[in-house]
Amino acid sequence: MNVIELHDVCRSFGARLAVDRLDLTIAAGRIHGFIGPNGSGKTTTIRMILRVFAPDRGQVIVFGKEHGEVADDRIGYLPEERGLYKKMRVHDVIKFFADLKGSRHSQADIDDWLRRFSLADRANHRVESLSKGMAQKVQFIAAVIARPELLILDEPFSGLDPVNRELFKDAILDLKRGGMTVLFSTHDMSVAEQMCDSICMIHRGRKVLDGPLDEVRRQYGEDTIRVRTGLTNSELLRLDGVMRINDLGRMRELRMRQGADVQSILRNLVQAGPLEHFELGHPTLHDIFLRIAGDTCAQNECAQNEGGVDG
Amino acid sequence: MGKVLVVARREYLAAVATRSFLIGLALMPVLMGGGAVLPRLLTARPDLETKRIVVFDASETSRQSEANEIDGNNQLEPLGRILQQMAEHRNQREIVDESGRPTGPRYEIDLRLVEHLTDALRLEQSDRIRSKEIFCFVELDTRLFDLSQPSASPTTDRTGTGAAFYADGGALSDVRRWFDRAISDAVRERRLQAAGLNPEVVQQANRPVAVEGFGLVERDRDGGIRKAETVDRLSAIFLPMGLMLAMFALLWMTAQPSLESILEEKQLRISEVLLGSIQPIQWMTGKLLGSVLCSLTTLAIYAGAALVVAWYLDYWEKIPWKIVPWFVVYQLLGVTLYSSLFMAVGAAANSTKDAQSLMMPLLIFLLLPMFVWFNVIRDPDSGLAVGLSFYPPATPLLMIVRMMVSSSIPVWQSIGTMLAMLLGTGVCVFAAARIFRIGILSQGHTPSLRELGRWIVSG
Repeated sequence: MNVIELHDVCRSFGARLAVDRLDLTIAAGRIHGFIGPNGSGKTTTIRMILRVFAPDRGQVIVFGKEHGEVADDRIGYLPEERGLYKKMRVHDVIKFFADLKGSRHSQADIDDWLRRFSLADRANHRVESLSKGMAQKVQFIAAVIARPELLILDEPFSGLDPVNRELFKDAILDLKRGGMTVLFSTHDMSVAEQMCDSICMIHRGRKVLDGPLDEVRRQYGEDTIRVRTGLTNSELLRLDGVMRINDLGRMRELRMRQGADVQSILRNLVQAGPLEHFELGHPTLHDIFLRIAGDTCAQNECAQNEGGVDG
Repeated sequence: MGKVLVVARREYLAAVATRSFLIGLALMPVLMGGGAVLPRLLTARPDLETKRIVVFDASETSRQSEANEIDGNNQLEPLGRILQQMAEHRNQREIVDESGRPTGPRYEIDLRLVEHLTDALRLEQSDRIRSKEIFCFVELDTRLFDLSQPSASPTTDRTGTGAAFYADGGALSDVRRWFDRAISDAVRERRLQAAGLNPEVVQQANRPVAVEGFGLVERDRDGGIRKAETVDRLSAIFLPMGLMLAMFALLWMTAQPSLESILEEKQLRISEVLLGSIQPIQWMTGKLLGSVLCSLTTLAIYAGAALVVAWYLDYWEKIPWKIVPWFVVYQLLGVTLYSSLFMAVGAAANSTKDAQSLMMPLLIFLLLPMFVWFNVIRDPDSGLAVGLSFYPPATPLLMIVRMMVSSSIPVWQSIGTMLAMLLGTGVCVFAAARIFRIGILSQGHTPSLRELGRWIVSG
């Protein structure tokens, strides 16, 4: 069963087209990543799903209904730009959001979440006394406290330190295991790669990639070689079959030309100098994102020469 | 409805369960009472510095010859000398209290009888004023006795009236007012003598008659006729004014925090979080309900305190019980109307500065009753008073004033203004809800009045 279906959805603000003929399907019980650069139309799409905005054209179907109300209690929402009442106490502010959603078992849930996020001893502190990370935890709890069926998270990991990032990741995976459908937007491709069952990439209002993560990666094939070698980037670029280099520091990713022979590249690398590491694999989501965003950029703005160095 | 109540509860607690609410409660009467107490405190420490005054009397030649024609003698005192005597009388009798302590400054007049005053002499005296040597100088000339001069006040025009007062910023000074009165009295006396009338007889004839003010005669519960009560200044002016100011303060004490609360939610992006949980109209309704509850709490506290004070000061009989229910209903509608407008401004603004700019045109409409309240007290049944009572932002304030001053407000006006208020409140809430719905999501751009109008019309 699909929780969300968008068909041919358009939305503009004045002369600016924010979302352009977008089709999207999100199945129940899965984690769906919504990826795209700033200003690509992610938040507008999320607001249409929340019924805050109506589309200019197309259908937005949520829980099987095309015309629902704003603030459906079955949806939990954590916006990218988020704040809390500074003067309220942590427990009270979570209870306030639970009550707004009509949650019946909020007290036990509040205690559980506060314990899980190590905030139990802060329950009676005012929000203004919390650190940024703690406030983000409270915001997350406020979004999930009413046990929604669909959880929409807009950039949930932005500004989090690695420890809290893991905490949020585990919490989201647990919620999914409990049957919740999760849609989250992110710039962080590595997180999306680790967590998402499927992804949708949107760029300048248009969908450029959509589907289960494995399928998306398969679609781009095994065209990426990760190497650790003493050769310079220019020397690597001169190798036959290498189209582009992504310099990651200790490791470099070589993107092969279509139809290039891996064995030939390996032979050339060994002959050219000492080779410490050689690995053939799928492109990462980050790489795919850069290719699409870069291709679009190249088409529209900056006609680049074929071949080059990233990173 | 559940969500509305959740928001209302939060708004109410956020407003009431704070230290600033208690401080505001305590400060409001202090600020309002300060207006009445401060002048008294200031007069309790009067200015006792002696005022040295130079009077140039150039009125003597013609006056003396005129007096000679009337009386046939040369015994009349110069006008400047009479002023000197009046000042001396004032110094000895009028500015000393029962215990002999001075209550005002002495006026010492240095009289100079001159033929005419030159500009050079005026400049010299002005310099003496600048150097604080004297306080002022007064110039009298022959035109003071010219009855063809159409002057109401002898000192308003030097060239026209024959009396002029020179001081540094002394247009409103007590000294000038004293000369106004003293010169008028002295000249009047001379004019009466010139007309062959006895000034004492004329003074007796001119003695004013005080008209005692009463309310209306009415029947009591036993069917008898209850005598009309005396209308004193307290019940005629200060009580209506006090009630109107109390209503005004209650409206603003409630509406202003509504604006700040919305602005905080918008600036801190709490609005973004709330959008996923509540519809804008429910959100605004909850906030309005919270405001109304908050104003009721404030009213209950002040009313309770006022009752205690009235009982203690034995003013129990002065309490206008008939008006109390109207006051409560008008206040509730007023709070709803004012708060909705303030919330709309808060939702449309991105910063306190924006909110102030957007408030300016709104203030003109909301403060209108404050410009006309005195006219309404003087004539509560005038066309202006009746007409403005049907203007919803003014209805609560002016109707309370009218009800306090007049006991004969027609029923149709009470009901009509209430209906106008209900309609006006409904329209304001509707318009505010539309602005709120769009404004709360709008960031970084302050809408113009035209845009706000478009938001209201198009939704």
